[in-house]
Amino acid sequence: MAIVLELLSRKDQTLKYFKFNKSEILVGRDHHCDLRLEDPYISAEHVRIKQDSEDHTISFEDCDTVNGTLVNKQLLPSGQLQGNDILKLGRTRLKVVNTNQPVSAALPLSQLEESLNWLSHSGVAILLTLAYLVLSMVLEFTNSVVAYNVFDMLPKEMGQMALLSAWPIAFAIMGKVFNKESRVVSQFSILWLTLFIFYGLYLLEKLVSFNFNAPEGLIWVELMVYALVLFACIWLSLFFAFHQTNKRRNLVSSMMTLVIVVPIVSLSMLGSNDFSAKPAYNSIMLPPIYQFRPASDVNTFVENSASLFTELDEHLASESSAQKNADD
Amino acid sequence: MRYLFFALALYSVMGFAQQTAQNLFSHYQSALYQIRIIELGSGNKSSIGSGFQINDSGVLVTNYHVVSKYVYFPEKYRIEYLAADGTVGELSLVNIDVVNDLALVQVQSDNKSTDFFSLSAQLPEQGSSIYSLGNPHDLGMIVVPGTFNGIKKNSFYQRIHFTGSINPGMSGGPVVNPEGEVVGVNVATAGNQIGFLVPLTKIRALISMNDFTPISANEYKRVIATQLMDNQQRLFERLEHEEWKLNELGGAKIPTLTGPLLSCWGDSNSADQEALYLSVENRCSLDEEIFLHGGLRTGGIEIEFEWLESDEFGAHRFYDFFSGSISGASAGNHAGKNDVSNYQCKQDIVANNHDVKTKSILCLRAYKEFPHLYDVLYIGATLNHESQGLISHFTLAGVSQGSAMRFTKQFVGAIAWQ
Repeated sequence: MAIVLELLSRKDQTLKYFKFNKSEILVGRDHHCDLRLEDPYISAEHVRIKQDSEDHTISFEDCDTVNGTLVNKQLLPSGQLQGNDILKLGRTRLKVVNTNQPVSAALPLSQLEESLNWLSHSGVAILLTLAYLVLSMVLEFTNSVVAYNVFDMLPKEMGQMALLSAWPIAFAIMGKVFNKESRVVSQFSILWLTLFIFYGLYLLEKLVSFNFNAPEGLIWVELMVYALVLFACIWLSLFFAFHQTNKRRNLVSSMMTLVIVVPIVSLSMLGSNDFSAKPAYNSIMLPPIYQFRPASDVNTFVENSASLFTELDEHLASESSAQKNADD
Repeated sequence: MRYLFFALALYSVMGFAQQTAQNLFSHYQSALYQIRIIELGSGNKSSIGSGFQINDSGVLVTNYHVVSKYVYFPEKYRIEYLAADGTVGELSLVNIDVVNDLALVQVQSDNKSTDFFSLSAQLPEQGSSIYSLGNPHDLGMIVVPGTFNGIKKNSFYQRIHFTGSINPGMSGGPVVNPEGEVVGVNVATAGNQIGFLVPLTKIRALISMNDFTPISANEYKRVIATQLMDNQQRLFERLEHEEWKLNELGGAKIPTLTGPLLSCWGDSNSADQEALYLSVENRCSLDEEIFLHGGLRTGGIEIEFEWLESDEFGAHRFYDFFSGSISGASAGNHAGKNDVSNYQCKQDIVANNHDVKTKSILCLRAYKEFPHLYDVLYIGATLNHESQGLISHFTLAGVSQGSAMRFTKQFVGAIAWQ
């Protein structure tokens, strides 16, 4: 048996791991100590930690130090230690590891990891970045009604891309902190891929809503699909940044998706029933090559609109009867 | 010598005018009233106008818009008069004509003036002197001499064009010929000596229509609804029977009215050297609207066409621009949330008999207090070409389902290519 200690950071992260194949160790600042800690608040000989040779229990004894020894935030001169107890000497914290307890089971290596390897090639990431730049320039071009100059637009587009980069960089930093590996290339690849999918969906939506007269249910389908893609993006970002169980990752990604989607949806719903002098209609027009829907004739269109009149009348009737009930 | 003669002549003309004005004023002063709308909460006047007595039983003519607050909220306002001798008293509403902006009110006190204005037998000749009477800005009764300039052209809601200044507060005051007979009622101004009057025939029609039995307060909205319904019927019958012809606009042919019913304006961006596209516009509208209350106008028509084309854009860029050009269309008339519902729209791709394929959007909102009257908004854009197209747009305010559907059919069906 052995005494195993972990040096903890302020946030309870393991900084160092010490294993002593002795039944008694001395911890302090002096050079002859078994575990020497460079902390000015620690005495030369600070604490003795012993392991009983028979029942393997661990105990400690403070060596009459200036600042004393805290066990789980309690100042104690000596006593028994359990696994996971935290000793505080000066400003340094040590965790006693219970060597009797089994460690958690190994996470199964994900097949996904292998199949997503290509995302971590810098070549792929650079290609995707350039492709996204080109795509956003093309978008800007089709949206412009004045003479278009690529070099005028470049700084704006690159600025926007720099802003978007906050996402992968944030995940890369977290990965670096918690996982000692940033995987920033993969994070960037995921961002650009997600944006490509979003744009593809946007084009598809234009095509569908133009050719099917902007059906009402479309917006909900669209929302679901966008939320799913966002979920996948967050899930993958987490996948590369942290080692966590799938269950936990699913939970975190769902929460993050909700945190992003709910405000957007509620903001757009906000005031949609308010009075407006502007009608809400879909103004998307597509060039002849994308027009698949056969045209109806004028009479059919006008006759179909008759339902609008009756719908409005019914709506007003129900509104006024509701008003009457409220007044009563 | 010649100048002196001219000056003398001028002086004598002015002298004559002044004399008539003085006579008129002193003679008819007792038949002129300031009409005040009193807000019951504060007990003070919230708006003012003028009115004139037309018979010995104390019936006054004024503008509908002077008493509109009372008509809409009879429980929050009352109508009061201030006579020339300073007496103040209650007025009751007898009848209204919202289309021609007229109202009849009656003095409620027993002490009625016996002076009244008589109506002229016919309108004067163009160029004749006429005199507008009223109480501008609560400054006291005044006489404004001016000139009768005939019935205004381009008008469905007939107005006399009066050259003379009409100011707020004079609304509802009479305009008389030198004999003191009423030829019109002050109603509006377009600034700088251009005034508009409700013509004699409309006053006569309102008076002859009823025996001065007042309509009850809960009937006001129903009366307005009937008048609006009849009016839109007349307006659309006239529109359908007017001669429409196809005029060229860019590469398209658009239906335009040949008569003077609508007033039309055009514009284009061809002077803009930097524009990458050509835009040619043609807008026609009915000059007047019907005033119902401060936030609600109706009875208007707007018809707009815009031709867009670009050699530079290419199909994708052009259609992006085109989509932007048809977005954001808005109602043609003022109306608030207590007056109308929100718009509801229907859209489709429609081809007419001239092979014009358009994305057509028809939007409606209903009037909450006038059943079966709607504001209609249509916007359409052609889909036939790669980088040119026509936007067609109209708004109709306060129309029935029948009128709206007939007009839409006619409008969408008429557009053609060159």
